[in-house]
Amino acid sequence: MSPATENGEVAPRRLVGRTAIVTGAGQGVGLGIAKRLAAEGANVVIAARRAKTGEPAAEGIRAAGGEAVCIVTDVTDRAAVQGCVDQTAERYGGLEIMVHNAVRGAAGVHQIADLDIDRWTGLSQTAVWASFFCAQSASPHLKAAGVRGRLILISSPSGVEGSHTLPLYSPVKAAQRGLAKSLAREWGSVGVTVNCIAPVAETPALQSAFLSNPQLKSRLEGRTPLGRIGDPERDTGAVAAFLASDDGSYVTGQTIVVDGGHFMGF
Amino acid sequence: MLGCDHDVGCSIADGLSGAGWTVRRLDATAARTQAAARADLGSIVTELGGLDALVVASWNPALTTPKPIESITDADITEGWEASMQTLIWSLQASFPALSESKGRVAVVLPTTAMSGGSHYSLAAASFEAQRILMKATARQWGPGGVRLNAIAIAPESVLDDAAVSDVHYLAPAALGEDRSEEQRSLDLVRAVAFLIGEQSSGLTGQTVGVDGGRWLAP
Repeated sequence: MSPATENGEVAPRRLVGRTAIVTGAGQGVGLGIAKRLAAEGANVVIAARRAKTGEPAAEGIRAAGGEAVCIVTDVTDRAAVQGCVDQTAERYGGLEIMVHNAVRGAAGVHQIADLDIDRWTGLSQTAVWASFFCAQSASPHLKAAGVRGRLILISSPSGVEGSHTLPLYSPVKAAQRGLAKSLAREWGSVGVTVNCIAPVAETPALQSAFLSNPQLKSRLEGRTPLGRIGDPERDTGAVAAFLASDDGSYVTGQTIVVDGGHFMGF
Repeated sequence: MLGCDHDVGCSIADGLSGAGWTVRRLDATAARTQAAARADLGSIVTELGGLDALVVASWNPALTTPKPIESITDADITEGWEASMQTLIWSLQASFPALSESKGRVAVVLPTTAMSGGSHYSLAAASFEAQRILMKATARQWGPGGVRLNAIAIAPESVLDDAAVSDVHYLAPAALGEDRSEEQRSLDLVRAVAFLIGEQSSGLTGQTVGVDGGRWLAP
């Protein structure tokens, strides 16, 4: 396993005996979260749309000593999400942690004045419809897990403050925050917590943006108090693991922004 | 005024008319598609020779009826999420040329449930918070052209069928007390909308103004 911190410390083992599904875990933030949850002892299901990315992700975790399988899942298909949850519960005997990270259509500057339905549909289905599918499919298992039950939705700082360049990405990420707060209230009585993480992390999508705009990285780092862009495993994954563990059991309905201090608007 | 198929939208339209605005009324269902929004708003702009303000209060029974998450169907999501969001997106888009011309204003009316969340109102909270943040993102995009957008957050019981089940709002009383009549609350709302679409609010954009007597006091 990779070191859990910049100082080379190893991850604690807070999730032994628990099972997590992470959607969109073939790469980027989802993969970082999956790696960290596995490093802390969780059985991890890589729910990826493509086996091409999902299988190597699972293999990488196994090679590092963790437990992981890939279940190819299109999160915009309710039956597919239900199937993934069913297979997970059958294989591992339950499901304690559901992390919905997958999103499609986030890249590319767009203008409200001239956008079309296709851009909206991709974002709406992967971020919002799929959040409902994940919550609904996982609900019986999370409730059965009680105080160990966790739903984590991966939102974005732009879902809080609105993005000048991504005006449709912003509301779908905001919808996840509204959903999380409501479910935190709805499921709180059985001990299940529901939270959002709003990360800025160096993902393949961000690396592509850096290639097309070489000044972007230094500009973004310059605006970030901690002076660097987040690592999907060590930074975002660490917060996901905290929320998933008993250490995070009194945190619910929150959005934790993991961006090195770039956004401080709460 | 988009959203005249419910009491809140009607009272805003009535109030603005009484204050001297020329108001055209549309049901929240009017702009559900890009083509419908262009047709409906385009005909109003043509008729009036321009557009100074768009007020949107976009909700429907799929949002206002309480349901636990496990009972929410695809039809509910289509109606509650897709329809309300697309109404706002396409009405903003269709009104953009006229609002750019007039350096106009947009006011989005929603319940404070957007910010608080609400038990058995997950679909409503998701949709209204998305509307609020779309308003912010659009305010950033259109601000340089002089178009201003803001939101007004009203008490949940003005919108939701059974706001009591969403629980949080009943933990604390309104700072101004709980004895404001329905008529007073309606007047409060109309005055706030008139302020945000009028000339006196030229320094405001991307903001959410709570008009609930001070019950929801978080930023």
